[in-house]
Amino acid sequence: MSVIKQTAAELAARIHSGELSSVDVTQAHLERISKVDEQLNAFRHVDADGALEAAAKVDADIAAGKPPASPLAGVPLGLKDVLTTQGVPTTCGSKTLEGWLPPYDATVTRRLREAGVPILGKTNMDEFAMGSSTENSAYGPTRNPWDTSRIPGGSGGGSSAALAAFEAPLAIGTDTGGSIRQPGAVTGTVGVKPTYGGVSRYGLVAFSSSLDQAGPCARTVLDAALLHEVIAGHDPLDSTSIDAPVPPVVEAAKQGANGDLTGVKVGVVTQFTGEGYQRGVLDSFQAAVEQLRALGADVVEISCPSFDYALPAYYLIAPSECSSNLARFDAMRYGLRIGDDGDRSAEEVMSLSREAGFGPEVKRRIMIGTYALSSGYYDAYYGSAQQVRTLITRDFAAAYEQVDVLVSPTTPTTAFRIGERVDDPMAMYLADLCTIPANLAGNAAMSVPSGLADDDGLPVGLQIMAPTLADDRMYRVAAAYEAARGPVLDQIPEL
Amino acid sequence: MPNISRDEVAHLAKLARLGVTDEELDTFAPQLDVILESVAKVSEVVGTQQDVPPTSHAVELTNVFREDEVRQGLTQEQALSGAPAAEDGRFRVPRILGEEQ
Repeated sequence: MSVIKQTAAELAARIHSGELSSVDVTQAHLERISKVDEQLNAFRHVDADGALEAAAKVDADIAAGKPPASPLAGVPLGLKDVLTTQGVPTTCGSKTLEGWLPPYDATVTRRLREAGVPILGKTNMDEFAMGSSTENSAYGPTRNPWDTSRIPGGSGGGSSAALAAFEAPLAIGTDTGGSIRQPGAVTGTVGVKPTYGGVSRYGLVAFSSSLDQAGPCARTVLDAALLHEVIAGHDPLDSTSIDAPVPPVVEAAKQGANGDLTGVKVGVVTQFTGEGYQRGVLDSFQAAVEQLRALGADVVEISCPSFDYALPAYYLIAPSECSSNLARFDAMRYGLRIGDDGDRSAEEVMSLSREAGFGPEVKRRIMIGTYALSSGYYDAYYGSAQQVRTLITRDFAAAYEQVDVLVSPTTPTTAFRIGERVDDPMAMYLADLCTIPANLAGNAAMSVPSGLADDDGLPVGLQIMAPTLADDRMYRVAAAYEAARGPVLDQIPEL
Repeated sequence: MPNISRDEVAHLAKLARLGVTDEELDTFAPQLDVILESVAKVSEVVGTQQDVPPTSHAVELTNVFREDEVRQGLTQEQALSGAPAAEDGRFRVPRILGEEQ
């Protein structure tokens, strides 16, 4: 099999045994990017020199008989363009940061470098991670490799498209309301939002600080688990980073792969079905639930009534936090500055620069947040949304007293067409319907491919959710399901 | 509840230091109206449960302390490396005070 189609685990084993060099593997992926990325626009920036240099170091260490720096040493990766990389462009999909070279690495970036993971480049995304289609990137949309007239999900559409198109065996995403899981679902790849605080946010350009979480994207559950363990763990540079051992996700994925879920209690969330859900998605989900039952899981229905209010609560909390976080883009210390002619005041320059630097969705969210936080509206909007957040957390807690994991479809529909929802913000927001509750509660959640929808032949995702710091539970269930289901990406059309 | 006017959108944009064109105001006003109308649903559910405490963060936040020791931060050169304008090792910014001040 060609190198680019192999899993990260297989590549790592071959690189560490000396059978393949990391330079050759990295070069093969760089060539694939050169060949197909013009059709996809998954990468914002390709750092061939940096990646090959990192790969050569891994090869030299292996030749010198040193043990590999990590289980993934030598396996290249695509990094979402919202994580800072020292000296390598980081745009967050925004004109505001065009040409900016960060003076420091994010903790995730640093851990990848220390683990010997060559970074192929930065992947495209909705501007400042706001969106569900990657159409909000100031640098053009990313296309779905299953059907290039369709969206690859968002905000991390670049990372997922890169995986599905075999441009990278691994990628990093960030998930505030579903930006790892929803792109995973619509591209037939695996996407994990770890427990909030499980992976450091230092150097992750903030959108909604109480919700943002970086996590692994991969083509298999085991690959995601291996990457999870490389990037996770306490970081003193992030005060919300949890000081606790990383859940044993690799062990759980390996255990799950034996296909036995006897004694595992699975709850089907009753709120996530019915009107607004595509028939092919619901059929795929039903088949997945039957598969879990066949593997020995004890499946019950669980009602979480407050989940019906998760979407409105999220679209108040996230814009409120974003209106505050994006105040840092003030054209004074870094980023785009427009209209500084010697006459205009700082305030006027700020206003002109933000007008030119931000796209429509970012502007909408800043204004919604400004509205929701203004006196007179604060209690009715932001205050109520925070109370809904409590109710959602309580629903999860009650559910996890009865079951080990919860499942639902990851998204209500398969990938929609580029342009279809871009002028209708509420229709776009509905793509995050099922993924948002886990962000609001800070729990772990992931999406694993559940095959192709029988009505349109496009990938569908099964969402598996687990309590805070019990990420390993969902990996076990996902690995068992994946082993029983078989691969999905082998059905993707050639580009 | 909402029904947000073009003037209100212009006011919000001003508060957020966000220049908007007339064309954008025409697009944003109806869009924000639909969004705010939809998210106002949150007050329904808590209307009947006033005693629910708010959650601002999934992880209980506590102060994180460290020893007060000097550590290497960014150098002056690094800190200024992305500045739109710099002079004498400092950020150069447009005037902040008006003529009469």
